[in-house]
Amino acid sequence: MSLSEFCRRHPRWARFLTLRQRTAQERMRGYAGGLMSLASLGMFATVLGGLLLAFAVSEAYAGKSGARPFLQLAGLGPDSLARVPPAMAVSVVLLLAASAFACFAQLRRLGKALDRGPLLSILVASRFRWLGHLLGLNLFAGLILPQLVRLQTIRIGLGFNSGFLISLIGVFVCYAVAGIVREGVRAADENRGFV
Amino acid sequence: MPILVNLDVMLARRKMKSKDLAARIGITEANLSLLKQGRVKGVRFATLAAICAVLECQPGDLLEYRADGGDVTGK
Repeated sequence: MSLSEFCRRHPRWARFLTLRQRTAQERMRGYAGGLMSLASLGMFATVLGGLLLAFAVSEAYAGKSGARPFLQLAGLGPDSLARVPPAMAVSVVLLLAASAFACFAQLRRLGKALDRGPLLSILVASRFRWLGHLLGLNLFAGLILPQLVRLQTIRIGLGFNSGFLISLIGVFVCYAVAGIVREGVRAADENRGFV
Repeated sequence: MPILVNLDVMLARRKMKSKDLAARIGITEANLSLLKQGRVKGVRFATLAAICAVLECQPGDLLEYRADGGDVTGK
């Protein structure tokens, strides 16, 4: 017996099984709420993590060994600390945190646009495009800024890992979705001209 | 646009109000008004068929082409 047949025979049960067909707009609003929550959590974690890391770097320069594990997260080994100026190391950590924060903030704005307004709108397209820009900037920052710190030790190395590739795909997906939404808005506008 | 809409002429001939036609063909009065003024990009075949059925006329009675009517692209 299929689920729909079961629900037809037992309408009381059907009420408990949420079989109400939600519209695309309602579904997207549900996703947008989750997106906003996730982005808010990311913003909080980035601020907290960035400040902790910056604090750990400055503590390490003060000679406290307890901060070492945190420094490994920033890609700073004990040997490089001796050669990197403290201001530069702290700045790099804060800049990386700021670029990640900007991405999460834009993600939250995208969620808000999807939640409050129509799905096919120039605003949503613009939010997707800016998310692509900021993800690209974050990618660039993640690739270049750590090299600035390592430059002090005259070891230049650019690496590509799975995180980099996933972010790069994310950038292209954002641009593609922005283009699709913009085209959808244009088609909807044109359709409104027909009676 | 060189296509003229003679819907108001047909409505006058049939002695029918725009409001009644809009209700019978299932479009809003605002859209019907835009159609009468020729300020739409196009007409769906379904709408045209409904208008023809209600007014008992042919599409040619509603639409007219005039060569000196302006830009054919409609822009």
